[in-house]
Amino acid sequence: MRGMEGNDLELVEQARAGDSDAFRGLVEGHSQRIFRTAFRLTGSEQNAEDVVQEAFLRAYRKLHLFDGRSQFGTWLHRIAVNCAMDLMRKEGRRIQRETIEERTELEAMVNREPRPDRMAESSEVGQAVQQVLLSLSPTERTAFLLRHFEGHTSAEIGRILGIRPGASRNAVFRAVKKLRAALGPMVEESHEVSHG
Amino acid sequence: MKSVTDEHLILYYYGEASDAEELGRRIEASAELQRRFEALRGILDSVEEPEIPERHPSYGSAVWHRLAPQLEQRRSRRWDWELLRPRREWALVAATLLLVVGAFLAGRLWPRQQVELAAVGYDGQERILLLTVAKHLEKSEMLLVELANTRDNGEFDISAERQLAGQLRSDSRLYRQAAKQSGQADVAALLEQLERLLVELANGPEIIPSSDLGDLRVLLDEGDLLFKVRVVGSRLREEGRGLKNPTSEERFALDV
Repeated sequence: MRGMEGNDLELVEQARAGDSDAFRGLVEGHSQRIFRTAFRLTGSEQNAEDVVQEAFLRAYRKLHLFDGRSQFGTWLHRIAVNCAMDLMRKEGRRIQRETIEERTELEAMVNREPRPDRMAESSEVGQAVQQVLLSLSPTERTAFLLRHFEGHTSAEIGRILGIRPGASRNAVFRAVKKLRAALGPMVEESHEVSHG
Repeated sequence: MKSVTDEHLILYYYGEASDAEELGRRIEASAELQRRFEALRGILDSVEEPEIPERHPSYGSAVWHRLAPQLEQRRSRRWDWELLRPRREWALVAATLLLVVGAFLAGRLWPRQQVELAAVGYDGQERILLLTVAKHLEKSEMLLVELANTRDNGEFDISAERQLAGQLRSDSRLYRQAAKQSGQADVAALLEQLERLLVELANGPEIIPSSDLGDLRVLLDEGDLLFKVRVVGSRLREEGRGLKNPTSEERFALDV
């Protein structure tokens, strides 16, 4: 993605030798991308900021283990994804509680009288999608978002999450199944309205 | 492929079906499959990426300014994972080790036996070996203490610790074999006990529940492993310090 990978390796070497300016270079070079990934996964600006911070702290702590077999950006991305997963797990209880309220709202949204002007609005479907995504387990949500938005294969997702490719595929299947169960009627109606 | 499942269709949607061409033909030929695939596509196409808030071009610099004080704090701790960093010089020590560790264990640490080593540089080699084994035990102790002292709810990423355990396991095996060959059952037993734990860590998952760390603490307490590692490590260090100073090359190799 960036022409600075060779430069990254130099910076890693210098940072390992105690050069804080070199680590600063890595932080400045990768923050934007890590923020985007963190936001995709957490869906919250504040949580994404926390993930960025934690990811760089962990990277600093584990810098001596970076062996250069993958690109530094890939290695850092993996750390950030796992930080986001940890945060999602920590917040799981809160999210679960909120999900009950969201589900109720979602069901009400789906069961309302069909109103073509309203159902055709993609923003409403988008809002429902976000609610369903929040209700997924951290593994399902992360695997699905890495697959759907970042285009990672099952094998890549498995490597990032430290699980087998089959397990990452199953996590995506479960996520899609839940999306279908929750959104099916809504999307079909929206489809009929826009085509009818 | 006998029947086309929803999982097949999901993989096809994402371009990951192993038999995509055949599946494509079957979908094209079957109204039922077309209906199912279109329904799936409708759902997945509706999952659009939310708008990601823009960050200022100087965002990276802002992140650094928030991060820097925490890194400084980390550097000032008494010890850090950096201490455990595998060193290139280790290869030099390991090569020497393979040749003389058996004789070293047999001839110096325990009652002397009939061991003949070249007179030149023998003390230097011994010193390296004693301090290297001591350092190995120290690194292992740090790893175990770090894990045992981790207090975290939920699951915990130990990928870095796992990798380190793999490296230490290989070293530990070498020492254990040497101790066994020289008939020193107590040291071999300690290294075997340590190795079992390192193998568990190295072969275990990268993400583990905090309850597993609780199990580790129990294991460490029950076996008095940390205590034994400290005692033996301390004894080896003392033995090493009692010998002739190493040459500058030896000192460089061991980084002491």
